[in-house]
Amino acid sequence: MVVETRSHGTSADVQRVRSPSIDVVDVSARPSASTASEGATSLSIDVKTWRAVGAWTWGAGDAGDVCGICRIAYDGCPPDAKFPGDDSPVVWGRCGHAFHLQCITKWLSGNAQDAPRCPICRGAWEFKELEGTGAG
Amino acid sequence: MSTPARKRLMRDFKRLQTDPPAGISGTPSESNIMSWHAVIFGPEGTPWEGGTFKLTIAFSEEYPNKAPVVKFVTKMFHPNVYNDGSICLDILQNQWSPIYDVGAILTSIQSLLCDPNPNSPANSEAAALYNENRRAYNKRVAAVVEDSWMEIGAGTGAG
Amino acid sequence: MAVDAWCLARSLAANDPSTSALSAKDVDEAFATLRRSNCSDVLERAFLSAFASGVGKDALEAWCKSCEVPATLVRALNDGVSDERLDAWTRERAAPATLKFAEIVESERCRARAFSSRARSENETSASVEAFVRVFDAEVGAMVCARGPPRLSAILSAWYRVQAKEYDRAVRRRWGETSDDEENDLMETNMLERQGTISMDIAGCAEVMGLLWSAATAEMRTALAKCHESLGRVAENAAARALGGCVQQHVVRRCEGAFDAPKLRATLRWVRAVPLEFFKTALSLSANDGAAIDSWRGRLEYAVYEHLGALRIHELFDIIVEYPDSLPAITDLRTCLQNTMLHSVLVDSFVDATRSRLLHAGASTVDIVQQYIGTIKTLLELDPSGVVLELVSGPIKEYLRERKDTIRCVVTMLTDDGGGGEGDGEGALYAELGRLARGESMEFAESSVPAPNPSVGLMDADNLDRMDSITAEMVAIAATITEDAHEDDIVQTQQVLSGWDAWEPEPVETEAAASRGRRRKGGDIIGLLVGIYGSKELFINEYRTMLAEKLLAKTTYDTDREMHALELLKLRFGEGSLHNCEVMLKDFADSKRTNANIKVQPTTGTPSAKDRRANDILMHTPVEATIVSSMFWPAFSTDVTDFKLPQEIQEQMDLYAKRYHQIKAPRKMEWRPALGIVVMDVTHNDRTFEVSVNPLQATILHHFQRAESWRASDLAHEVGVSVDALRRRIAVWINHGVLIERNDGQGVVYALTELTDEVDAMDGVHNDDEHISGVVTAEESAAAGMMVYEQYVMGMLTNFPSLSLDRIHNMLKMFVVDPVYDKSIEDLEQFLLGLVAQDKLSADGTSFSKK
Repeated sequence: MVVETRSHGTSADVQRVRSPSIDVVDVSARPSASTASEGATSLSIDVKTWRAVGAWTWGAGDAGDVCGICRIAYDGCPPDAKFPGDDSPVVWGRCGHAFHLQCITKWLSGNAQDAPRCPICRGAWEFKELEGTGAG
Repeated sequence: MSTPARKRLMRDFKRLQTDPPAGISGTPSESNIMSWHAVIFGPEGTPWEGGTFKLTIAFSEEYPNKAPVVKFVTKMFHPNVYNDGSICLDILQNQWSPIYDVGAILTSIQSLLCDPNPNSPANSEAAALYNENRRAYNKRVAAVVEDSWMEIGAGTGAG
Repeated sequence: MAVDAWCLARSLAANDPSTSALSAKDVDEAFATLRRSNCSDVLERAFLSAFASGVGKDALEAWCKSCEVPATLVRALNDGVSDERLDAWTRERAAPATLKFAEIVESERCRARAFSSRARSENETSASVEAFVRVFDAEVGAMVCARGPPRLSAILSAWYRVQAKEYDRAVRRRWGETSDDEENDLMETNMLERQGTISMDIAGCAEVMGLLWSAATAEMRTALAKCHESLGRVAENAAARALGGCVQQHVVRRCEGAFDAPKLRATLRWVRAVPLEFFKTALSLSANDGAAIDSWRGRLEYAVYEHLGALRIHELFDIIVEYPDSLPAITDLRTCLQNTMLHSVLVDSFVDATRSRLLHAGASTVDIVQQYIGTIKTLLELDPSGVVLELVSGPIKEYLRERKDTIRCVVTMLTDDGGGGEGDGEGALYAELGRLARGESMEFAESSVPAPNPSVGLMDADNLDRMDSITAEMVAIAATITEDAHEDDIVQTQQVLSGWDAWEPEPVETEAAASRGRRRKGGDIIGLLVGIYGSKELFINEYRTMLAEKLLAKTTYDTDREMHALELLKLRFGEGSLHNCEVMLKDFADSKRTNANIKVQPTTGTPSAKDRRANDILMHTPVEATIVSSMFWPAFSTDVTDFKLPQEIQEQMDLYAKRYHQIKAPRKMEWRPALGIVVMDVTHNDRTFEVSVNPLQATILHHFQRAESWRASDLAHEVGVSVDALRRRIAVWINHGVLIERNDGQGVVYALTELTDEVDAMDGVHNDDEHISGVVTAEESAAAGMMVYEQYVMGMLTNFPSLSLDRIHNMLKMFVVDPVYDKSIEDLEQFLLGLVAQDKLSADGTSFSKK
């Protein structure tokens, strides 16, 4: 699975491709992680901390899309959950539709006697496995 | 504390106001958000045109995982509407899905008006007329359409 | 013979000196003759006219002459101030002359009486003699009125003032006071507390000054009264006026500007000792005149309350500045207010003082807020029911609302524990929050579920019964309550506003209610501050924005202080309103963990472990991340959202994001490159210093490691921003003396400074204007908000043929939570009437229906 990272129009000679078999990222940048540069000019900078800000997303639909069951944004909190994120995970079905884990679980358990169906497409519901993860 | 059902209903209400489907309207009752009043307008270009049909919708705490109970308050003449106003509609029973909201329910019922399902007759007279004597059927429909205006004038809407 | 007799009598009447040569026999004969002729009336009239044109006239003229005020003293006399020369003149010329006149009149009166009894036959009753005497008195009165000394009243006042001053000095000497300092007051007050009564050790004039002096003091009024009763009254009024002035001067002299000692009791004691005793003497009041004495005492005490009250009111602004040291003055003022009707004076005076001394462009917002807090505390001390505060705080709140940085200020003050020793003003509010948490949390346990808003009809008792409890609670939670509107205070305010005259102190049985109100009010200063805006939503929103800015400017992951503050705020505002902030803080804590996980060497065997190069970079990168749940943070709106980061940093950030996805799959993260903070060492021209700047500024400088100078347009292109944005961000480096702006004729060029360049190297961190503007402007949200309401209302009216204003208001309150419906019923009415005007609705009384 290709991991898409956000690229910023950096120099074209760098390509970021990761296929399952190749582990090493081919880049032509310097191997060192230091940002101290050699003196091309009289100025030299040494970055001690670069506190960057990022926003996470479940990546289910576009930003602000809602879970069909609770009508709350995927990236938000379904009812009963206190915090977004790990407390309120989003899951996908094989059919490709996504819901908050709590929401789909409540639905499925409510209809235990019938075969589990996706609320959107009424297809058979099966949780889709996540791939290649692990904190390591 | 606000329950999931109530939170969901508030969002339904907001969606209904900001992005209303045509020909339908619904509002929770002042004292209880689990009980709604709704109106379906008869679609234009059909025998139902001009009718304003009132309904009540009763939600349970399991909403949206369980369908609400929807009933017509206005006197109806339709193959799938019982005498007491209950509606025989698949999505309100076994074909319910939690992604339906108030707007979707009311829109489905509105479609049902012109598109009855002969296989589950709730009002046998209506079903029979629909199948055998369309003109008489339409006349009966026109009658309930007209009656529906009377109710609007007289009622207080307190449900 | 009759003619001779007549001439004789006339001469006698005129008190002609030649008459002394006459023998008694001649006089008797003359009178007998006249009696026989029945001309007593004529005789009496002759006497009168002789008096009027002779003795009386002379005496009067002499008197007036002596009472001619020297030109130099006119001013002092008019102003009623003490002046030594005036005092001397009064004592030595005017007063004796007055007494002399009275004496003359008295002796003439005796003569009149004697003359009249001579002129009338024995069988006439003495009543006619008395009648003549009365006529004589009337004549005197007329003379005095018409031609008496024009400034008699003022002169008498001055004289009484002199006497009173003497007495005052003597009394105080007796009490052992040698000067006018405040220690004496404090000692006095302590002594009074111990003794328990004010009247101890008060002696009369006679005892203090001696009988002669007392007699002399009393004589003035007595003599004048005997002379003519109207003069007696003039003397009385003059005395009253003089003493009133004394009281005021005493109050001002002893109490002005001295707020930290109680003054009232001591002053009351003085007033009983000096002015009251003086009155007793001057007006010759004895023990029998109990009622009169009481009346004078009442008047004097009232004068004290009035003057001290007025003085303190005038000084109220400064009293507040010096709170809590000025507490004694406040206690005094409270007593004064209880005994007088000075409330409206207080309100007017204080509002004026506040407007001119505080609410102007020269005062910093922090100062204004602090003074407002001081005002709140002071006025609550003064008037625990909060009515005066309510009236006074209007202008302050209005003014603060106009200032853009007020919320920020209040929020900072609330959550900053004043570490940095910037004075206890800021820490005080934080402490207040703490106090709430510890001591008065009980108070809030009962009021954290907001009391039902009385204007909501929904909350009638029967309605509540019908509703299920969950709905009831939801309605209560959804209802917007302004923290500082308690029903009993509203009623009181209405009472007060309807007429100051009708205002009465609270009766005893509501003391409990008042004390409850006081406790609630005391702990509610925060509510009052928030109430500057009338709604807690705005306040909380601003807090959220502030918190976001603070967090994003942090270079550590430590949030203890913010979490503590948030806990306290939650106690005050309830958990629901601050949920966003909780998520923000949790994001921060999670970021710390995530950051650690990303940078740590992955366990062998996992996919991440294999990428040794990435691991190496990640372990050593200076990049750290704050990963936010974007729905809960304020909108990040800057003019620059995207630009090209330095290559190395970009690479590291890409690896970071990738590792994040590996750890947190299926979650992904997206960078907001313009946000955040960069700490770096800059070495240039043999100078090394550390700065904290935002990423764009860091990136801009980064490029100067490759080239000494850059054309503005080139550099902007390289970084991927507009030239405008570049110019704004590059300012920080110019201020630090690292870069310099030049124009080479073809445009702006930025270059590294040489040692030869003259620069002001400012080593301070430069705050630029990059900030998160999360709060949509009020007008925008208002306009959008109204549109939503229109849709709701139209929807509602489709389902119900007509709805009353109240019902519409209630329903909107219940169901519109995002954004929260916080309009008042009057706002709604205006809005609905607007819709009527647009022909979308029709109105019938207070009910609306669709057109």
